[in-house]
Amino acid sequence: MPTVALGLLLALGLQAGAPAASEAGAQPGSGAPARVLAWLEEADASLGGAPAGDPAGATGWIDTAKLPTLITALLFGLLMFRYQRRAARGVEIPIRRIPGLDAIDEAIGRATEMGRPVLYVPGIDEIKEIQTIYSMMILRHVARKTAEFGTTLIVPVRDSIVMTFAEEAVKGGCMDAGRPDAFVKDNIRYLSNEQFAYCAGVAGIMAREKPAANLMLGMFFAESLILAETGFMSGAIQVAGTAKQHQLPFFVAACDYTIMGEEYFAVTAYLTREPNLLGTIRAGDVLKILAVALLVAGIVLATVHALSADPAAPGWADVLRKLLAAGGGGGSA
Amino acid sequence: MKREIPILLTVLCGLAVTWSFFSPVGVSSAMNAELLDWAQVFFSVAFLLGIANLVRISLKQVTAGHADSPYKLVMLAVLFGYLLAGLAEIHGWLPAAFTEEHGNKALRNWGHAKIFVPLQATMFSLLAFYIASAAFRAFRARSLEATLLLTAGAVVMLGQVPIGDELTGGWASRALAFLMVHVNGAGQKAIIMGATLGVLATGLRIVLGIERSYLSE
Repeated sequence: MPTVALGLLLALGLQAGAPAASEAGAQPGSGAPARVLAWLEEADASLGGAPAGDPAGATGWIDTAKLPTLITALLFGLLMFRYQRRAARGVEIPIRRIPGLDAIDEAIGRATEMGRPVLYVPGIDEIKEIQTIYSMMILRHVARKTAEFGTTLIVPVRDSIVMTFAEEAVKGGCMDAGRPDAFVKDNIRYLSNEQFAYCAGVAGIMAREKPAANLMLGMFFAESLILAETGFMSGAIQVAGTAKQHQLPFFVAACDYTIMGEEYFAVTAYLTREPNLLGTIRAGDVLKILAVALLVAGIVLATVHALSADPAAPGWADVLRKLLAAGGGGGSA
Repeated sequence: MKREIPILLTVLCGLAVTWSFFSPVGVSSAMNAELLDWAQVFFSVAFLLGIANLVRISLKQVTAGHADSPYKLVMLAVLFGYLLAGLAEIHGWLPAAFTEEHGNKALRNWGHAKIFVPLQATMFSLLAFYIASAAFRAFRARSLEATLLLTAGAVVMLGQVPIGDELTGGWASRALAFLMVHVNGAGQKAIIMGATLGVLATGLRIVLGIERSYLSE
């Protein structure tokens, strides 16, 4: 069970696309898969998971619906520590070239040559969003670079808590560069809590202060294209990055470089090459290989079962689905 | 200690919230609710910091005679005007006749409905033009990839409108469904898988106190 359940999370796609065994019309049977399914039901009940269709009935100390997530997180943690230690011992962890990430330093260099500011937009979500937190880490790197080059860095923010984090990140970056005097508090600007008011404010900065480089890294919603197109019209080199897949097409269409999905979370590892961060990248890769193996196993099992003599009876594909769908379809959710 | 205490608090709160996620009963649930209440308090207080930042920078620009001064003056006038209107309505400083006739939210509602909502809609409506201009650039068949994008875009557009099916004998909507479900859907799921692992890695690094670069020295 652990090996199978560990992989996913990622099986979310498989879970979402496939009906549960009972929904698919599977009948109770006496074969090995049916016995394993029955055993899993018992195990789930003993952990306090709710019976199927009654999520409120959970009584145990752990939400069995989230068990695969927990196991995945623990496995990921173990892998992360293992590869961090290896990287710290000097084992090289290669990381492929990502043009969008190289472009961040290039854009800052261009702004420096032109004597114009760099605009850093950390998205519009709150600090509780992990992409916003990660954006603050990237901001620190960007601030270090701009401080080294003596370039002005403007950071408009939509949330006042993000503003305090941005101040800390920029201050930290300036100190990393040995230039604490490069920190200008007034360049971290709170504009508005409202999405389109903030968007109008950032567009105004692009139009009036003409930054030579626009870095848009974080969580974006409907304002993404307005910002990217305004930046394009102002003639700035633009690098955008987000893990929000719905906004990626807009950035791809309107920006010079786009950092997408998992690349976004590799920015600091890629730019700093710190062993701790590289270790997490390798751990993610290993987990991804496991996920792909699980997906292939699921496809093969489901195909074999569909072609078997009795496709209505529970098969191993149902067992796999049950494991990945977490604790027997119950839990307190 | 200035650095250690925030990290310790981050680790403790992160572990507590993680615990309540996996075991949402009893103590963990109560602790999570308490932490969320605290978060609300922090958010409310931090809002004042944002206002202070906005007012400080705007006043500096106004007093320095910056080119943006007129805009800043309008912004400050609206900010404090709306605040005054709210205070006046809440504390009953307005004439009783006015309140009786229009209600005790009339000024705020008027400002919101007649000024803010139209302005917001104006910004949002710009999207239509920007989509057209971005699509015009992106859909130029300059390379194989761009040509594929152009073709897919044309098929999707045709499949979305009745005339597309009329012209192609129902082929357009079938091609649209194939592209959206099997090509677009698969691509999106791949991006989500990668991003989910990135979220997990970043979350673990922060909760375990390994990642500290979001704090200054």
